[in-house]
Amino acid sequence: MSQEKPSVSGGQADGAAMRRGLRLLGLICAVLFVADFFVEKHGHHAWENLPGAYGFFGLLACGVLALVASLLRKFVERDEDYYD
Amino acid sequence: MIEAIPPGMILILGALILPFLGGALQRVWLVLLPVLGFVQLTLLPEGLAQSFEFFGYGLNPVRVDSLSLVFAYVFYLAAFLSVVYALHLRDTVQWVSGLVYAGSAIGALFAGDLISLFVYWEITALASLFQIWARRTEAAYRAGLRYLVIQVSSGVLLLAGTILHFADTGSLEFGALGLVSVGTTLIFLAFGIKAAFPLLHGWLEDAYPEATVTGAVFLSAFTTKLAIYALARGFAGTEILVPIGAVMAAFATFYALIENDLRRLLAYSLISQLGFMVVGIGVGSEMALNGTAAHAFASVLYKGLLFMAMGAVLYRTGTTRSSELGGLYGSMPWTALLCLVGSASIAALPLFSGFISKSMILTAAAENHYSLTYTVLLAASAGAVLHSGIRISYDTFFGPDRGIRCDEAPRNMRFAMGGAALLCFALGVAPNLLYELLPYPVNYQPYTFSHVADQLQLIAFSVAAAVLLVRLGLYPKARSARNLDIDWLYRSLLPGLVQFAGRQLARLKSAIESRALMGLQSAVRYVQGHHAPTGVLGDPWSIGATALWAALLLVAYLLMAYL
Repeated sequence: MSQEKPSVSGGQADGAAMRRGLRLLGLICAVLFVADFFVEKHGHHAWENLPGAYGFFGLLACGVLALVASLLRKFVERDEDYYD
Repeated sequence: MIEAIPPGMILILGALILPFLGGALQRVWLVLLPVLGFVQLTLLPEGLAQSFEFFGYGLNPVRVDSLSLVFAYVFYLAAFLSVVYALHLRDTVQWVSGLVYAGSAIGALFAGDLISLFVYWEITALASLFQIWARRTEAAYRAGLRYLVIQVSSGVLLLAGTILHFADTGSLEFGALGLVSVGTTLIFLAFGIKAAFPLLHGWLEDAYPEATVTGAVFLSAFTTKLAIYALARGFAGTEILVPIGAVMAAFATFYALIENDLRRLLAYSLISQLGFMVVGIGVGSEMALNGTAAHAFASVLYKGLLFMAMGAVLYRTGTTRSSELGGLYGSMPWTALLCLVGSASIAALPLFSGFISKSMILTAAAENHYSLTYTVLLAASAGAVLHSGIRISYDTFFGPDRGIRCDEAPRNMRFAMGGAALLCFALGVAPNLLYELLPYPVNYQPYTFSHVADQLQLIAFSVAAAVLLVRLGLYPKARSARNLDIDWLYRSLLPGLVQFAGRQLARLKSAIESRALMGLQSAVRYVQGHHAPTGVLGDPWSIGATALWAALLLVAYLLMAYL
């Protein structure tokens, strides 16, 4: 599964393979979301029992993590040879 | 008879013979030692205890129970994989120090009293240092010195705490301690340094990336997990550990997301994983402690695997900067594939080891109503997909080609990575292999529809989130940089303060000197005014005036004698 992940570095590895990979990822997400309506849940918190809760949580968490990390970068980032 | 040798001692004593062997025999001996140690471990009867009197103090250097054993098994596995990974070296120093390091860490697991623990604790610090210094660069030398100072401070705290604890209780036993006195608090801090508690973690992200290719693999396994074991033994159920662990899991994730040096990224990722274990110890229920032990076991293997893969990349390409790497799959297909197994394990993909261990801690946290902590840990899991999955595996091997062409990793490295990957997969598909080793009976089933569905969703949507964030330009791109962390305090601020203080003192000194000189000069002038040949007092008196004054003084003396 991981081989089809798109580049995070921003460049394009291989156009066609990339598009196939993204379509596959979309399909996997869609299937998992739909399947979630049919899975019997026994989460410890009420929100966990909503269909697609973990998918939504993943999206939200990654968004927040990326934003906070970018903010952190503004404060701590220096030249690579800072200590030299 | 084999019980007579303390566990770990096989590695330490065997390592000392190593320099005297040559050629193939040396390599055979190197690989054989962890195997012998592992066999010895399987023969040790649980409940075995060796004790003796030392200057009237009862010491108990060997105590065998299930908590020690589960850590010891994985330490021997890690020692075996690490020496196989290091088999291509022509460097006896690294082999000897690696084995002594592993052996002393294993010895520490079985220490039944705090003095024995202290002795092993300090040997691990000294032996592991050579895994950094063996890089033989100026940067590694300096990082090693900083590492040594902090590791030895941990030992000093442990010893001080032990003395105070002994004065309080009269006992040297290493059992449940709890935060009940100054002594146990010092011991807690000693463990906390090696477990990379927030603000005490600077040594880890500072030193590990400076270690040799093979050294980082050794280092990733032992020191921190020994600290986790020690915390689990001494401070299970200490509630403050829950927020401490949650903070570790969270802040290290942020740093991992913006780190360019992939081995430093793994160091942050390691701290994040330790956070999970620390939470488990803080929750302290049987399931939580089982989860901590299981996660330590799993993480030694997958984290070792990831360090091995990045070590192989460093060995072949000379760099671990993410901004310079990409598309290595063509050159290193085996390393790429095995690295993916490590990423799948840390991301807790079903069928891989993280899935069956991490969730025990999460479930225990939720069952004990640590809802906020549960959410933080879940977010850190999603973060692991981004930094230890996509950045480590995808970007390095499958991302845009940066034009680097190199050989595949040496055969011994591939063999070690293959072994680690196999174990990650085996634990994932047959969790009972691990569950049977855990300190408490396991009443947990990881493979439920609900858990598998939730976890697959979390991972797939995290990957999708990464795609979206990249498209929106919100994802922190890999770029050449150095991110400041707590070690800045003693690498930059403290030397800066010392220099500043030095400069101020120099100024003060010169100011005082010039003032003193001026004062002295004016004093000399004043004295000269009176005593110089031209001054009032410098003027010689006539004999008549002197005689008159002497006579007057004598009269005054006479009068006083009569009064």
